[in-house]
Amino acid sequence: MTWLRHALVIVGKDLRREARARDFAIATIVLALLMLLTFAFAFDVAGEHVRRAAPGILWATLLFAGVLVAGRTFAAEEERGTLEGLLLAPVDRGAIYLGKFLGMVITMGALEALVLPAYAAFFDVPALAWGVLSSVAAGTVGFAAAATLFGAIATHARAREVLLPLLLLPTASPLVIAGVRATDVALGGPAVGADMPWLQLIVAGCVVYLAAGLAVIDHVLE
Amino acid sequence: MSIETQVRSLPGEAVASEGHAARRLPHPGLFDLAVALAVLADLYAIFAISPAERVQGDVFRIVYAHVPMGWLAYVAFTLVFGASVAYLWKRRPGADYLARAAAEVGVLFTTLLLVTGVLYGRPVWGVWWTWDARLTTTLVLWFVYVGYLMVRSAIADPERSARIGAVLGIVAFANVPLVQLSVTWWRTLHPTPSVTQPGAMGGTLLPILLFSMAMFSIVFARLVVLRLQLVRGQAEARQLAQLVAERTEV
Amino acid sequence: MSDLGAAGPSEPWAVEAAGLSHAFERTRALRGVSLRLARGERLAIFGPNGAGKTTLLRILATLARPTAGELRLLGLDPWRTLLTVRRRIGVVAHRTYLDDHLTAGENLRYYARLYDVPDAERRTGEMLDLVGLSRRRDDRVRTLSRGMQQRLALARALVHDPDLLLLDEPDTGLDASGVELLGGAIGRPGRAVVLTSHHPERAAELAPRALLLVDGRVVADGPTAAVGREVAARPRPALAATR
Repeated sequence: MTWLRHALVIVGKDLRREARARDFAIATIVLALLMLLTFAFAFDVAGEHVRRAAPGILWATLLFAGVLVAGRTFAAEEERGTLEGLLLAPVDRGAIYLGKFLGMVITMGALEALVLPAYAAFFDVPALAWGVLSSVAAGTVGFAAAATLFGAIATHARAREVLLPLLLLPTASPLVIAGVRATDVALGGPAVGADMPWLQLIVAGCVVYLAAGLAVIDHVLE
Repeated sequence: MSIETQVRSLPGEAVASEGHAARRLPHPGLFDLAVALAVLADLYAIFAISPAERVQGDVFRIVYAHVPMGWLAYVAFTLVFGASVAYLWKRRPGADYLARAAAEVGVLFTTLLLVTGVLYGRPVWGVWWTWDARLTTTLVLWFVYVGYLMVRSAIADPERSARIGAVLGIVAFANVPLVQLSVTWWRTLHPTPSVTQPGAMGGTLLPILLFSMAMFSIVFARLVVLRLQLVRGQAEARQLAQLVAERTEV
Repeated sequence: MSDLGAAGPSEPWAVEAAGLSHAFERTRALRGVSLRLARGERLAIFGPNGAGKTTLLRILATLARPTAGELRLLGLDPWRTLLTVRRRIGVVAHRTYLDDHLTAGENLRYYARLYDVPDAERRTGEMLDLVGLSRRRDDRVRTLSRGMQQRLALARALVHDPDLLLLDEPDTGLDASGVELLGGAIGRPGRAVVLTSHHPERAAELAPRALLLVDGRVVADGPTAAVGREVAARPRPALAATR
């Protein structure tokens, strides 16, 4: 289980670093809260409008923050020069992928732990209901799986800050569609579509993206 | 010695040798003629043979182009997937050229698919865009494969570009079922008119549609081959330049 | 720590390179470089800027692929056995590969764990002792001077006791005692060393043999002192040199 050990070493180092240099983490959280505010203005949050726009607002905010976090995963390390040091080491590429993926899941989880209560308060919705939490959790896992792969790909390319979201957003669209629907149902939305297995679709996405990522990462990080 | 003579005297690895000629089509002129005939024949079938649709009128003829292009776009992306797998498996540059060519033609057809969808929707339903399941899925795929092309051109090293491109070609394809499922489920909540819902057309719809499909396929094949040759030519020109630079004293 | 025994007589060469070339777009950094380095041998590489020294070093470090030529590192084909080969190579490059927000000790421990070094904690201590940074173990790298960071980078490269050590201009910015420290730190019987340098006099203390690389080609290969004289004898390239 060397690769698992290596993956944990990588997560440990990344989290330790983020805890030390807190500026990025804090700024991202504040930005996510700011997104909620901006959406409140954008969708003229008053009365019954709120309920209809609420699920989308949550997912748009998390998507935005997620893209920023994804950008950090590989690009920041590459700029610092430490990515090459990691690639030089005799570490299985799958372990690197897994480590970066776990790091992103944990980071997003911490972010969501702060954003969800704020969201529940701002829009007066039961955001801490199981239905919402499960879809957000599953969606985060799937998103992180895809984001880690594309993050690794983007390190090789020019204009990588733009290329990463360019690749990530269309690929993650099933997660967003299903996630918003599942959240809508959980927040007491319309009965239409309530019986559709949205959560299962998200979970399927997690499996597909993780499997694909692990399968191809050797070709991306040589 | 002139550069030509120096290059020609290179052993085996020179690209401007017998192997190259064999990869060209035996009768390219014939292929182009076939394409021209196919286009003319299809135009005739669409405009002269097919009657106007009862309710929608002449606008309906767009469907004869829209449906084949949709089908061929999927064929293109399947080709990208196959070529990508082949490249990662055997690392043959030809597979990479095919992936690139198929992706380009695929994006072209997808763009036309979206445009014809819009051109059809506007007169028939009065809207520029309808979030119908198929159109929406097409739009997502358009973004995915445009992203593919952009990443390919954003990576300078050709070997790396080929490798990453292959990875993307595989992942994009694996994602298609998920995209279709999610979009289709989404749209069942708010059913919208779909593009291909013709009223009674008599017996001529299907045969003409199939004929159009076949003609478009010929055009598609020619375009893919054309792009393939161009991409291969560019790559070989680059290799040749490197060989020359290596052999001649600077 | 090292598996010297496992290497055995079947692996007389640390590096065997034949006809290495590297071309990228219009630039041709290397044109047919061949060299052989025995196990435990030390080699310096000289050459003007742009001659291809760094490219050659990166290829030997498996950080870049040659566009032509063959390479064997420690008796293995690196591109088939990447992880095995990388386990036995140590690299000191222009970039330090250190995370500046982590401490010296944390950085070393991180890499020790990635290289599966047994008892990473103790090894970290040993390496810090070796480069004289024990007192700065719990200081963040960003608080260390450039020279200290370079020493730490060297410790990082040595933490897994590599059989092949590659250094890109390690002597730049060092004084005489620094060079002495460097020489003492990098040596170990059976460890091959390749370093690039702009200072033949200093490099002579570190490696008995040297190569001169000009325009991507090896133009001299011999005792460092002799090659050093060649370097001095070459006309300085005009600043506005065009190609």
